Amino acid sequence: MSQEPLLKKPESGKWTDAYPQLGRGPISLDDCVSAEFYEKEREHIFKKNWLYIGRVERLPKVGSYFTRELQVLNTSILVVRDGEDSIRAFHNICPHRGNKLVWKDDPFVETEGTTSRLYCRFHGWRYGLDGHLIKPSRQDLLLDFEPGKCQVPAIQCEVWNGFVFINLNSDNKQTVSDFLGDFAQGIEGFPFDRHRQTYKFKAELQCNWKIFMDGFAESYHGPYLHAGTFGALTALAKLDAPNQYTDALGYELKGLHRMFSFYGEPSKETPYSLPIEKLVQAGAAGPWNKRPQKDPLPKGLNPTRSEKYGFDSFQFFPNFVLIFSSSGFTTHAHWPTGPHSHIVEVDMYYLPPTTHKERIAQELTVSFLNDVILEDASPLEGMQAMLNSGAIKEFHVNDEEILIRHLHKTVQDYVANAEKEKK
Amino acid sequence: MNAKLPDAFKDLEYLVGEWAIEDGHERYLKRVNSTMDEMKVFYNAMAPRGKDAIDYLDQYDYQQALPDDAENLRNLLFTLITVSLAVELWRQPRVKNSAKTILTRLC
Ligand code: FES
Ligand SMILES: [Fe+2]
Repeated sequence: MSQEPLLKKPESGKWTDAYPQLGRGPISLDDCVSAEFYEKEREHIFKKNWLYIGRVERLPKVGSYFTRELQVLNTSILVVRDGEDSIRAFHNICPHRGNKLVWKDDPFVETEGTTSRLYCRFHGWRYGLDGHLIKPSRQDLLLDFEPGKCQVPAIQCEVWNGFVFINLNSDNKQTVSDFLGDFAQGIEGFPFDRHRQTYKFKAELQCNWKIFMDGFAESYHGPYLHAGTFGALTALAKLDAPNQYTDALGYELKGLHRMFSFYGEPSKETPYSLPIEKLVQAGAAGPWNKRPQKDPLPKGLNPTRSEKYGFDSFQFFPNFVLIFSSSGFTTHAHWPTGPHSHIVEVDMYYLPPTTHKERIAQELTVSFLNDVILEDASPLEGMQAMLNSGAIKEFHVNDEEILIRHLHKTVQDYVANAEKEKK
Repeated sequence: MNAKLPDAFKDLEYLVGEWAIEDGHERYLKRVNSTMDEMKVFYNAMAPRGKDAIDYLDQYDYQQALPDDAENLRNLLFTLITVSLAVELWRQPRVKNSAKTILTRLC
């Protein structure tokens, strides 16, 4: 890897100075409160852009499928592997009379499995894995009927490095790779498919999806909100000076997307290590004393080329976060269920353990991360409730909160432009 | 599954029924639905044996399924991890300031 940094702080000492169009004053928080704005966000953002809905490992063989209940899109999505290299997505509906096509027991619960045909339980019509009608039941009853007009409605679907994306905008002409842009190019080559040990978590939280993303877009809150887990750093943070343990190594904005790179040292015993960490020889940042990574990192990771690099977090527009750490990679997907609530899905992808010791060490890391996320969750719900009061109208965002400024500006500008085009 | 443990851990068999929980979400529910006193009884019995338990398990090939007794021991270790964060870090069953919120662990 070249040691020449891709990313440097502006001479002025403020990241925000690299982006003059971003603004520096307070920002409107109406996009987290207004029900009217939420409806526009659904229409212009969620229904018009590439959305990450799951890893390709969920579809191991021809006929494998899973469904996604995505309230924000007002539909259920069926994703099917139709061939070695072909993955398709559909609205999960039977075109005969509209029965929900694939579900088990409860039509509103996501499901998965394997099948050779898409079969509708209502009147027994059968469709191929590509959505075309194979056979209606009781053909003798058909009237003016064109089979070609009776197909399971397809949705654009594309796979990028094993990440399955859908786009409800049938006019979309952009590939996922183009949409994700330079950041995605920079992480090409990461061995995603080798990280097959998965740990998945999910919760519906009573806060707007952006409020939660904001909470994971800065580390400035670490020594305060996470005083319990970052305890040792709290004293340093009080010094009111640049702090390598909480200030990001770097922030970068690219079009609709953004990222930050964060400090970290190899996971090892410290004076603050808990007895359980000593027992298992691991902590929140992974197993202790791990051999340094043999494979070179893709060029877009550790963009400041720091010796003390911990992790990179990419926030891809609109709701997909991809985090790289020494343990592997983690995805966060944020699915609004209303203006003031959303489902967050946190999926961790690690290298498969080769020993029981390694598996036990991963269990501690995962348990830690679970608890750290919970340390953020309730405060963010309290924050949303107070934003709903209308008592304040703006966020006062500083230089370490540049990604928050960018997320809200991007969302607000996107909606405003789309509304203008409509008129 | 039976409640057996490998010979060297026989004296901990009384913990298996209640604390050897394989499913990650069930383990977390057990933590938030237990009192600190209940968890400390388990923690005080299990933690001192943790090192020996890990070494014992590590003799087994990870690619092979564990025998039932070793699997029980592994599950006790998993629960020890879950419970330790309550005992050693938060000093209460739930994460501090987390109200009634928990994540659902799917796998
Ligand atoms: S609604 Fe599906 S077969 Fe009639
Ligand atoms: Fe946090």
